Amino acid sequence: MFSAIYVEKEIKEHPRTLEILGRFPSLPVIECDRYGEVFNRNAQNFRIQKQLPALILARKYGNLVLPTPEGYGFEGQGSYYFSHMMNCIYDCRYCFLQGMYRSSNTVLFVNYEDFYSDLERHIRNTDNAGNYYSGYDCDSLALEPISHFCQFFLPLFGKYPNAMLEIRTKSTQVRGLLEAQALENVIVAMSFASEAATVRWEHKVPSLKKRLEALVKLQNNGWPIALRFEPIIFTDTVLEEYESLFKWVFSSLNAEKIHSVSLGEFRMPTEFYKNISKLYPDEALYAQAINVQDGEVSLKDNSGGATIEKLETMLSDFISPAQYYRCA
Amino acid sequence: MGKVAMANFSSSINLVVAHGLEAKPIIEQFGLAPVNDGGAFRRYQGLGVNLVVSGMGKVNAAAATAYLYAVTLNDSMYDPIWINAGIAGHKTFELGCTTIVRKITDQGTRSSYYPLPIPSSLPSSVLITVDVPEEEYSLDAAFDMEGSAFWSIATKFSPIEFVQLLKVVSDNPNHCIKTINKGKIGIYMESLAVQLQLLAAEMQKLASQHNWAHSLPEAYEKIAERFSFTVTQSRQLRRACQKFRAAELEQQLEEISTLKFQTSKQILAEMNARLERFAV
Ligand code: SF4
Repeated sequence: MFSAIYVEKEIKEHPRTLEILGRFPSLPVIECDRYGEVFNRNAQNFRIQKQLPALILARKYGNLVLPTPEGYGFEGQGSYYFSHMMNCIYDCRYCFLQGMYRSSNTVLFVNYEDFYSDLERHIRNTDNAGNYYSGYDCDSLALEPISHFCQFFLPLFGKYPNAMLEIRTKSTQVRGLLEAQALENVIVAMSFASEAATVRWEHKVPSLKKRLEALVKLQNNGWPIALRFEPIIFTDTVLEEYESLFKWVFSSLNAEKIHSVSLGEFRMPTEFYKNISKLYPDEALYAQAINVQDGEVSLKDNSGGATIEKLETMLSDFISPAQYYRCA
Repeated sequence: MGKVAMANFSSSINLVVAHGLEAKPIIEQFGLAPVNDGGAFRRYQGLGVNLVVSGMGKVNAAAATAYLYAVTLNDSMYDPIWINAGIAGHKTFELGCTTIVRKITDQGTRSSYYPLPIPSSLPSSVLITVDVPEEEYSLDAAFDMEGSAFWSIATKFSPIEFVQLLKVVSDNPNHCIKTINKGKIGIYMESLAVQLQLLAAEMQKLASQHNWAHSLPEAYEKIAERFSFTVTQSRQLRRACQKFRAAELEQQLEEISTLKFQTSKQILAEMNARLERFAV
């Protein structure tokens, strides 16, 4: 999975560091002063590095819990995100992280206790409530056997039932959740794309079947689950593909009990798009015509917006309007 | 020689070695011949491989790396692979042990650099580049006098993933630097040269994939020759050609290259119009 482990000098004796190093006895361990020395230096090539990604163990300083970008997630009470990891072990060709970071190494911040305190401070300042998102710039569960993220952070949300945690993932590493008592305010949001899009663009990601199986198990164990159908990539057959995906997904889940369902088209900041298309000049997705508006790139939709509306109509056969939102 | 696409998408391998004695076994291993061009540094060349003898120290290493880049710039359209190979002292490793460098620290500036951790069966080292020969072996690391300068310059010309350093231990606390002699250097470097070939092959795999992804379809040359493009237009042309290939529309690109256009602007407009119609 990793080619080496970089460890910040400061946390080389941290118990979480030692535990993780113990799991990879044969990997080269390389000490660094700060993770930025390895992670986001100039002249790195994300795509080449992705063939030999390393794990970086570090300590995160500064603001650990941040307000979400506009349009992210649910409206209403304060919304925040936090990243105990940066980057992802999977390799989705459409992933904006490839345009955001220069390095494809995964950074894991081991100072969970600081995240915990900062989250708790925000929850208290938001009347013991607020929406908290994990997985904005990583996949929260993909490294679960190593990170034990759930084991550490779930008790905090058990303590504050009005604070909502959304764990965004494509991973099937749900054992930690299945072994824990389900919490009504912790939502596992699984992302799905059509079968064709998955095969074409989601490399190293668990299959749709495995993802759905994991969700079914979670739902049966009482965990609130959510579905994120994104990014929608406009192809000639997109409607047919998503029609069969919706039928298949909703036939296995109790739709009434699904916390929320969202749709989002392919979209990313112009700068990230420029970076990615330079990395993947041979990728057809980045040969497709685009719209640029307000600093964001989206794919040209020849239907003039009708495709998303049709997909929304299809979804309304399975869920109530209250369960649905469209990603901005 | 003009810039030509290599059929196999390989990068050139540029080797920077401090001393002629260190270079000799590598020259033999790679079958290199001297290039007598009267240049500032001694240089050798073989099929897709260049070697420069830099002389000792950071200034020489930096200058020779830049020199090698300049004199081979037009040999290939792809970024070269760079490897610095040579002897080093080490606090704990046995004499003759070849080691792959995972971290380089410049003792003067305290800056550290991290080559891609390419898979290798060799033991890993931190390399500390010093200004004067290290006789204390103060840290559990390898010590040389060129590595950090080589890295700083080579990474200006290629992505950092194309740059590595390979060292063989020539001295340690039990066998001080003064015990090194010609014969020993030859023996140590012979075993390094074998590992160097393996490392170069491993790096070439990464480079070839990268180069293939960034290569241009054949029709590009035909179009580029027909019109004179401004710098911006040339960039647009290259990107448009890559898009045709990514979209599997190379046939259309071939067709465009044979159609009649008055200006470079017109041909670019036609290419863009066709790409606008493409959907994945
Ligand atoms: S799973 Fe998510 S975070 Fe990971 S590569 Fe895919 S899109 Fe990016």
